[in-house]
Amino acid sequence: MESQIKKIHQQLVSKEITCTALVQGKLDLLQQNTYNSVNSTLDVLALELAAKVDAKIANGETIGLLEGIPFGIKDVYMLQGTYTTASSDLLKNYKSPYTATAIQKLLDAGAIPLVKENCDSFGHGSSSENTIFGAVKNAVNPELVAGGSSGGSAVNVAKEYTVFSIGGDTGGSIRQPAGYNHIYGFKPTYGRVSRYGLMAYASSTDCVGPLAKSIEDVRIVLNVMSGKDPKDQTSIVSNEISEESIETSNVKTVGYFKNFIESEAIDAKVKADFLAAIEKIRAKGIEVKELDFFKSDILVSTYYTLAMAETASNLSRLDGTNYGNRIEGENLIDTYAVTRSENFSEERNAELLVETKYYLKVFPKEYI
Amino acid sequence: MSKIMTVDILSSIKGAQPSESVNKLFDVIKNASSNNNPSNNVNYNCVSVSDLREDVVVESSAMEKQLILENFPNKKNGFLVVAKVIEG
Repeated sequence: MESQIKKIHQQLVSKEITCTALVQGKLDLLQQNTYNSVNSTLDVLALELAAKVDAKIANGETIGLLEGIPFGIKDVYMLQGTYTTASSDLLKNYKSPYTATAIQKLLDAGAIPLVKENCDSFGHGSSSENTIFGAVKNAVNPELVAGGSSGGSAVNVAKEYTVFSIGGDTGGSIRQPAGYNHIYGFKPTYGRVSRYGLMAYASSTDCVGPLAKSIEDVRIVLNVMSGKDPKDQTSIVSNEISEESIETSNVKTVGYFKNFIESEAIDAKVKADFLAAIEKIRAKGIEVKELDFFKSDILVSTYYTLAMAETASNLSRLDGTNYGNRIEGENLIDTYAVTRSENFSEERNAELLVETKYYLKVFPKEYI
Repeated sequence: MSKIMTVDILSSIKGAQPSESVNKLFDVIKNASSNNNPSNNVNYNCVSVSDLREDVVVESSAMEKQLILENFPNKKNGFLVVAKVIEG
């Protein structure tokens, strides 16, 4: 598909549409939607920004490529003054005190935030069912799940309620829902986009990335968000990706994980489709290498060991002390216990138990 | 699931049997090469110690302070009320 960003930019510049009408139209669609993809809409802010873009165009000023382009934000990103619930009970009334770097860069480029999008609570899940806002329905077939955790973002892009959305990917949370809803989702190299202002899941693998209907839109948004940020010391300097470099790709070798394809757990059709795609790549003259890492069950346990241990640490701050829904107990420890038991879902509590178990194994003295 | 985790439950976690796959994983980590080869910098994306920024105190904006206050769970007569402390 062609770039939606470039198409809408042209429509705005040629005065075929006004930015206000564009934003209002998308807000109406978001509010009426039956896919549970929306946690809250940002009507006042969005329409205010749209009016400014219209005024600029009316004055004959040039506008940037992203100026006036409406986008969505997974509800785990800070945007100052807006509710950032992480689709959780604990933070259902939490307002962002500051704005995430990636989102700020998009705002600086003139993009217009429309919506905080539904997802699995704190990004923990792969179906967008683990949320207080109702399970997100698949854009292609509403009888199916949207995937997750960035399910709301994927559905909003697929239904064209947003031109692009910003998701978060730790273990597939952008790529998997993008696939389920037939759009593009990209997990960049770790550190390429600052994580400042993203609610942490597993800090060593969390990545900020775009979901869009074309590769060109993914490229445009990624370039704007990329860059070293003093507020995230794991962020890195990166080069801009040019349109030409994608069109005239000189990729010579592609690798894939043979262990996952050999796993008995994989669906036969998924396996066949994957191998067919590999053949298409090979037919283009690109060398395809089977990569042989250790067994897939060990890989999965590696991921869960790291992710669970890190998330136990990251979620420890959610104890009702400084924010969230505090439930007073008889003493401080009791307050922590009751607040966390009441506010985390049963699934989350079960996961925390597993996480604590890993920690006890690795750091017994510190955690006992 | 019980609302409060009892000591019994916590003790049972402490005494849980080690998992074979987790042990295998630790072996893999222990035996992994540290990848310090300077020529292998294709995916060089870690931050060196000398590249870390200085610790700086950044004053929050008035709006940020206001929102932090709004998020505080309990207030009384203009004061932020903290949870009960443990005595003794």
